Amino acid sequence: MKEASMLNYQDIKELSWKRPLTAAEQAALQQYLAAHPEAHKEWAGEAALNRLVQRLPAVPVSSNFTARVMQQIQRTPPRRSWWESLNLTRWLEQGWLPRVAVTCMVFSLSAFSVYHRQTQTERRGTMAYTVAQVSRVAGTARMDWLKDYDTIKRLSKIPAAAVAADDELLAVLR
Amino acid sequence: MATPLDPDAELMLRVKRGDVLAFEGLVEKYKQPIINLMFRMVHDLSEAEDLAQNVFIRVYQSAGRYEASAKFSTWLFTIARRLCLNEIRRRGRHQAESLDSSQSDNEELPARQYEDLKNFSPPETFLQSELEEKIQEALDELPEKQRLAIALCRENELSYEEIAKVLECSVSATKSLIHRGRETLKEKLKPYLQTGVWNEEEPKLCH
Repeated sequence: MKEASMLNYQDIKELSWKRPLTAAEQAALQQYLAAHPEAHKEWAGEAALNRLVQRLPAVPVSSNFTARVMQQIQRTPPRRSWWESLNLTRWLEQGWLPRVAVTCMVFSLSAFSVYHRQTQTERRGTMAYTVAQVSRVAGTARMDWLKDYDTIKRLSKIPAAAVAADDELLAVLR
Repeated sequence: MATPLDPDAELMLRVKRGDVLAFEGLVEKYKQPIINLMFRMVHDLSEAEDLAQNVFIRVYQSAGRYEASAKFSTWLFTIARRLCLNEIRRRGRHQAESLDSSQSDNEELPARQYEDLKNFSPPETFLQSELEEKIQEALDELPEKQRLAIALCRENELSYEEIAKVLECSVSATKSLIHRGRETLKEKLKPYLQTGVWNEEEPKLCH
């Protein structure tokens, strides 16, 4: 906050909007007005409005306002997050059964987690072995094995009727 | 060196831990400025109290999420601002409801009790209340953000930086809002500003 001697006219005006000026602030204002007579009229308007606004009285408050608020908050408990609303701590304090149930649940979850991880590891191991086997075979495959691939593939698509006709042809040729 | 915690923020942290008495202390301290603010915005005493009540209920319900990263009053007035502007906009969409409706919704709650007002002599009371009414009417005609900025400015709990946080704008924008609002008020309240007496009747021209 500035010292009174360092305040300019605008600062003093803004202070006056909020509260009566101190003696030091009044002195600074008078000094400014003495040097700037053209500001007198404007300051008169500001000061008059300040007096008017200050005259607005405090609004009467019902004497039982606080009591009404306190009564109302007893009816509307504080908002809680979903986690807080579960109130697990209080639930656990009810007796041995909830604690046993929670312990069993935690143990089951842990056991399932371990089992699942082991299963995953075994599956990965099997897959890795299979891939290794296939890559070993694929590595030694020769291109000449593949030259009759298309013919063999087409033979598998020949319908049964066509195969029967070939038997007749063979019998005639004999 | 750590900044000392705002005393009200400490109280609010106790509320967070379930201390209802600490909450009661905060309500007692802030009920007047919050109701003042609400009244300046909605210009209805009953509604201002209902809104103020909702502000404190919202504060209590939000206690679990409260973080003492800023002054408690800034957080409180931010909640008040949001509720107040929501209500003003809701009123703008719907016709005004019966003034008694909010009371009838809470029939189990005790009725409001007001202390007797100070006794002024009749002419002073008349002038005082008429002047207050004129000032409030002029405030009512301001855009809601300017009205809110001027109402917050009047509350000594908040600095300009804190008002800016409540309004969610910069300090310079806040001061600009207040300045523009005040210029409009000066124009509307000119008769009183110039003469010191409220005189609405203009001299009639002779034809």
